[in-house]
Amino acid sequence: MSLRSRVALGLVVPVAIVVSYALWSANAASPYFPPLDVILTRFRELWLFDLVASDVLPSLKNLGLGLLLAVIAGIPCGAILGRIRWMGEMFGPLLDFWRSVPPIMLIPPLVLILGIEDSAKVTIIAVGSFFPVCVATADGMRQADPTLVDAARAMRLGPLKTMVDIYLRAGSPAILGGIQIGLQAAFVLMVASEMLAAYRGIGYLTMQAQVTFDSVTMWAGTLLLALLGFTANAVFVAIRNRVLSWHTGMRVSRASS
Amino acid sequence: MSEATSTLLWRPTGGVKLRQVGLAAAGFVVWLGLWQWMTTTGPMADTDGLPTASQTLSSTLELAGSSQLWSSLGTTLWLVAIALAFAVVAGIAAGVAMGFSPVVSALLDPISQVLRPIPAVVWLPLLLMVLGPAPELGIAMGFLGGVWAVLVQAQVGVRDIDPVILETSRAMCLPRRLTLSTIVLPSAVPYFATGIRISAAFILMLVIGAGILGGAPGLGQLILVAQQTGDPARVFGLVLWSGLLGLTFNSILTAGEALLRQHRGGR
Amino acid sequence: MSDTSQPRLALTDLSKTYDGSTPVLDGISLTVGAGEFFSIVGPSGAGKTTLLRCLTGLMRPTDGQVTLDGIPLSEPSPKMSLVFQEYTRSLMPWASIGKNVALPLRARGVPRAERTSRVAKVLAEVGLSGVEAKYPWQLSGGMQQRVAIARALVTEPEVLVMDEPFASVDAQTRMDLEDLTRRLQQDHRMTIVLVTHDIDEAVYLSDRIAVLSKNPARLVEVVDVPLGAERDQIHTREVSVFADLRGRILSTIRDVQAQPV
Repeated sequence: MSLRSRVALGLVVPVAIVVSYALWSANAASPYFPPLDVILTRFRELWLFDLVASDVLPSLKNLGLGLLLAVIAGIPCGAILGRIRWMGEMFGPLLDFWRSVPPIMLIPPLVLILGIEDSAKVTIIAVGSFFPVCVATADGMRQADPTLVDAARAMRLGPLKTMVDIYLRAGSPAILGGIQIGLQAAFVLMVASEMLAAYRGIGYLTMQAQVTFDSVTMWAGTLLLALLGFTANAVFVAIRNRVLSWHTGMRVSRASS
Repeated sequence: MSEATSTLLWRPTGGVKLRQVGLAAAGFVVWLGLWQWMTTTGPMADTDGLPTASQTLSSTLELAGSSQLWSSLGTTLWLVAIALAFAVVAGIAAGVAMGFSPVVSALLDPISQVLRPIPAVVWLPLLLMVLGPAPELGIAMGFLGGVWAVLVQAQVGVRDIDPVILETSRAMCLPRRLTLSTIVLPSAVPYFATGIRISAAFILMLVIGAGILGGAPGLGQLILVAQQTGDPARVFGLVLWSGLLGLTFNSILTAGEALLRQHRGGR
Repeated sequence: MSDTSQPRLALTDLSKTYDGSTPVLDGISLTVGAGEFFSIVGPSGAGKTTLLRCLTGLMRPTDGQVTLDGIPLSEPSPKMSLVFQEYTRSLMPWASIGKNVALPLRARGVPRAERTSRVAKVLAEVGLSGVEAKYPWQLSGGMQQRVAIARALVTEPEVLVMDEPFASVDAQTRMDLEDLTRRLQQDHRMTIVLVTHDIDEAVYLSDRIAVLSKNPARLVEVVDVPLGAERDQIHTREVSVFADLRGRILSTIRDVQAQPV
């Protein structure tokens, strides 16, 4: 199939959805489904760029800070659990347990302790995204080839250099996978914690709009959240592909030989 | 949507040994001991909203005897089952069609690529507005979060079929429908299993999330009420129960998937 | 040119038993002189890899000891370098060739400028000038093994230990690599210990060859190879000494394998 026909086919469904929603909502006058142009106008009024400084950027800052903390703590913890056998056997099950707690479930107890300030949100995000990063790092420690580890020992590469240059690099596909799951958890926790307990933020505004039956603002907020969720993931994937270009290259060259 | 979402770190090799069980138990004891010390004599004593480990444990045990907990767990699992059923049917149908037919793939792939990375929690206000704090909210959230894993795995499963087998069936002039039912679907079953396992883990999280954020019935609603009535020990107890539920749930799914793959000699 | 009166590497009564099972190595004693090309051959599954891990200090023997220049070896020595069979697994796929070869220098804290020049020099020596920026998986198998040899040589070791280094490359490349190794040994006056299952290769390259038995591995005999310093892929393999030695070692190994365990 030619690229042109694939692009054409790919546009069919999205265009159909948008057009049929626009046509239908213009006449239906349903309170839940306001006309498309009204939603887009509200989107522009709210997010381009009146509330960006007060409600969007602080949320994104919490997200970035929380995830950063989770990565800073999660990678060393995972490395210890993955490399020191008794540590892994002792705390692996505990970690498995905490990772099985749905991330949103962490919000009520942490809000009870920490309140609803930005620092509390950062902590919630950091705690929720810590577990996937830590588990993936521990798992990634197994990816280092024993031959390469022997080679490193024969070169008398010190323990720290071996960890950084061999184990963490060999595990980087797994670790980045863990950070990606961590990012998803962080995003969910950012939105959910704002929906549940906050006085500002996109999640808060969108949920408030829903409570007050302001469906236009609700739609505009949902649109922005969807856009942010998509973009956050896309940016991460782009970074990951860059960092892991060796991995893709190696797989392609092995598959073709 | 990686493997790491629901496989376990703790994989004892060569059978579970006493040493491993002992160390695992010691890990939990260390954690609880540290918690108890922090909240009684340590730096976090008398922190508002933070119960001691012993208060939490007794609340956890107390919950075990409460019919409210068990009926909530039952509701949650029931909603998960319904959402999973929808996700599996829709995900496999769309995924197989996309894997098998280039036209369907070209039609649906772009929209799936756009919607898939958007966390389902984004749709909550919208769904809450339309559905209200009803069981359907949990089902819809679960479906939206869980359908992608099945879809992707089904798509990959169909595409990963050995091209030689497909050539053979073409050479035998098998009609497409027969190729689909006798060759494509059976060889993709292990992929379906992986998709279902990952999807189910997502759905459990989202059904509970819908309860916390939107008041849909089940475990999430229970913790929301406990938080609003200001009962920290109960909130923490419910968190432990959710961890227990998640761990059991994932272990069963992982074991089920492994069994199926082994049975089929799949990859 | 071998000087066995002053052994560079000495194994004394080396034994290895993995917990509870039958011994893998049983009382192996041998010495390797400075500047000698020494091969160890034996039937497959004879515990050659275990022996290699013990004599490089990667693994502790259950009994006996290894000395390098008279000093007991308990961990890998800076005077020794290793080349593995599996070049795809011993090189770092995430690092360029330059970084791969420079790794042992980084381990020693050699400054960056010196690393770069030494890497370039050693890559030229193995016939791979200017590949620093490429990644291992972009090279052919033979070239990857040259990189692994360069990485072993960059520290200017006194002893080079090679574990089946040419077993995973095609026949033509193999001959090239054999000659390269022999030439490098002569140029650097290195001691080389080569572990291989290929008797032809051992005879072609070595000054002396140790033959091992199996289950457990014991030293059966040490054979001198009087083929001189200059070797040639066509002519050396045609002389009668080569054929005699090859036949003798092969029959020894057959006898060893035929013995009841």
